[in-house]
Amino acid sequence: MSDNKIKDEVNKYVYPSEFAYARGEHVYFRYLTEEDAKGEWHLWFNSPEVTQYMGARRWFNTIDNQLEYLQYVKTTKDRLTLAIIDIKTNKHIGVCSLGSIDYINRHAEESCVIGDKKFQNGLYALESIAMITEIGFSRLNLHKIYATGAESNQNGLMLTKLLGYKESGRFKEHSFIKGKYEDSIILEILQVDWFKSPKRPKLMQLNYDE
Amino acid sequence: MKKKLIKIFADALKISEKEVTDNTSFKNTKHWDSLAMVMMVTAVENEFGIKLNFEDLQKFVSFKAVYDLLKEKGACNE
Repeated sequence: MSDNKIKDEVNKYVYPSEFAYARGEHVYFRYLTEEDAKGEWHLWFNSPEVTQYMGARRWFNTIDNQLEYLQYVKTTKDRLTLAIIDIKTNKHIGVCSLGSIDYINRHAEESCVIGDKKFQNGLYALESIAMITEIGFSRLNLHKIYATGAESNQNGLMLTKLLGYKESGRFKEHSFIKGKYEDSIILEILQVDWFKSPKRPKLMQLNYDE
Repeated sequence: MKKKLIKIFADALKISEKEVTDNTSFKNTKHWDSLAMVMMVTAVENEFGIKLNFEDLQKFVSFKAVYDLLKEKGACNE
């Protein structure tokens, strides 16, 4: 099948979806559903590999926990949490969010989890972080987006830096990982810098007025 | 130029230069993770003296795709 035909097939599937929120080259975002909570989403947070840098790893995650969290993310305006879907397979592969949204000071914290191991190659996380950053600045009109990560989480930190986030500080001995305290690195980017960045993606969007 | 790119891939993916072929991709290479991708992008920018935009980064899916990208940008003249 030619690239154009594949794209047509994808568009046919993706565009009619009322859940689709934004679309990139390899992934699209949509709202999370109960089916997601009952599917692989809740299992990712029981995986030592996925949760090694997260506080959540201390507790077992159940479908009920995930459904409860889903209710929270569906109603809160404090965070925007979206499902990451692989365009080619239409598979739910991770979640991406802007949390601690501060509407007065106009900043939020970015986070991204690729739960499906087959998609942990940088490509999908990179596009997802770029997309959620673009949404934060273009759609929510944030002034600044920041991310934090344990110093040993070089994969996540370096990927975020690749998009232009700069290290602005650290929380000393902030995370207890593998038996010892680690500093957490703070990365951030301002809207003005993002808008002139060559690392800014062209985002194909649905339900997007601008 | 191609040799330089092969070395970049070999170093980032922790494989020998002989193992890097046009078919080397994220689908068939064990160590192709986020960090390897960042290393490849950074090394390509430094070694070839170019700045990659977001659409360029999305082409880091295989050796051939990156080689073609560099040819397109006039950085790989073989």
